[in-house]
Amino acid sequence: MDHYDQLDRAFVKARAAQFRNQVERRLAGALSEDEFKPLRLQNGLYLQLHAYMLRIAIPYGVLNAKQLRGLAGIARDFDHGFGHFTTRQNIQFNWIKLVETPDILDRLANFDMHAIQTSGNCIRNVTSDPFAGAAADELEDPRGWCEIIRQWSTLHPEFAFLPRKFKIAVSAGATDRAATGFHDIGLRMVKNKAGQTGFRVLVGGGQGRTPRVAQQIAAFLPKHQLLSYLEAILRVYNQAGRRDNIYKARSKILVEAMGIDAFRDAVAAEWDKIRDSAIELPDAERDRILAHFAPVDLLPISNSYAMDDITERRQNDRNFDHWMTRNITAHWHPDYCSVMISLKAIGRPPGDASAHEMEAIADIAEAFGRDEIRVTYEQNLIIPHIAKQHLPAF
Amino acid sequence: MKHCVKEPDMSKTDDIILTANRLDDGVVLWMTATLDWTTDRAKAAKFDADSAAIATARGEDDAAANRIVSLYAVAVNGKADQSAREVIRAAKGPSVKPPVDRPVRSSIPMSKYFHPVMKRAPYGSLRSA
Repeated sequence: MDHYDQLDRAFVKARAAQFRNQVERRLAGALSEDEFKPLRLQNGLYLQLHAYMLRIAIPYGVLNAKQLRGLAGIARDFDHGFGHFTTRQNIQFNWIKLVETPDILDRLANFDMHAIQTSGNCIRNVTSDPFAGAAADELEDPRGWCEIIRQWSTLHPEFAFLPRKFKIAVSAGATDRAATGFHDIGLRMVKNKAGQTGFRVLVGGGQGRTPRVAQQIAAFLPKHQLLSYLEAILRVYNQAGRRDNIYKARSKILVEAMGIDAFRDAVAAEWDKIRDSAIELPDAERDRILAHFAPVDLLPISNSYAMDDITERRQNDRNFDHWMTRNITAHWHPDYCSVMISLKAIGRPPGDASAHEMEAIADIAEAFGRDEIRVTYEQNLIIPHIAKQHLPAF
Repeated sequence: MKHCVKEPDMSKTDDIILTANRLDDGVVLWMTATLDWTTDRAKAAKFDADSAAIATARGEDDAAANRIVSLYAVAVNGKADQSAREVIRAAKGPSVKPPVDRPVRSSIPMSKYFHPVMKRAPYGSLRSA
């Protein structure tokens, strides 16, 4: 996974300090609510029915145990002891006090997380396949490209005040596990006839009150041209998207109104101005980022003795057999698998997890799962890279 | 900055209640008959056409003074004041049953779950082997 460097940490801490100052000015009356609202939204803070709600980004759905424990601590110390994992790989805390939000952002910064661009009319958290890097069927790990898009879109000055929020998802599996058809831009990694890997690009998808399935705008986009093409799409949307009606402002409305062919032509015209320009990432920087997502080092493990146990238990324990059928996903390494942990207990809202449950899952991931936890758009958690011999422990 | 009350769904003859959120913690509030704020929906005052203007002005003053935020009026007509939004706000809590946290974290002794043959965590032991 990607790692914060000193620059990242300094930036996130500075941003938290900036928001602390903004909150102090709001409480002191130096900022009106109209002035403060866009500032708090840029830091993921909403005011909802009961209270303030803070949405925290989990980039491409990847957490480590320290981060999950940190989120559990926030749930316990600042909320009602639970958090809500969302369909877009964020976590929300629904009982937040404005006065305590700066302390929460400080704490998030301590374990390399933040709430920047989780609300407001900007490019939101980039989501991906929760099995990325572990799936048996993916062309390559999509998270590196998510990270490239994340860095490009974070604080992008041209796209800070879009007509409406803008969501991007990337999937590289044979099966789309990132709901790319329901995003403003969906990127599916594909191979062309020459065997090169690139992106099939979809636009204009979304859910909400006007659900639309995204349409194909490009059958194959070479990887090295990704950022300029995304920039061209965003420019067309930024200029032509409606701003007079919040319910008509999403890209899905624009694409439908223009028609996919006209929208494609407009993007092509914009792209001609910027393709192969400095917007594209230098090869060395791209390789540096992608290197953080190299396949994990998993040693072969003889599972034969454990497989006998598993087979026997499946025969004798109906619940375990059912759990194996529903919750185990094939891994690219034959001795390993990914384990799904459902956050959909009967009678509970999908995606809710108590602080204690988060800590327990962090313990398990640390001991058995290479210190990784993934958040899924189905609002479950996944621990990838589990040796099959450990399945009876679950 | 003028803090305008949103237009409620009402006829001119409807009484209103005024509701808002407390600025510093977001708690839902209702205006009382003494033009103070309460967290108890049952203590919310109904304002008729004559008193509504005074109450609204007081609410706008409190918003301008940064005590409350998101001020709006709700018509007491059996429809607007009984909407899902208002019922949820009055309930002061999730409309669903949230998961219950344990007050003190219990550490899971992971070693007890390791397969008998493995005994230790897989990665460190395998890498050092």
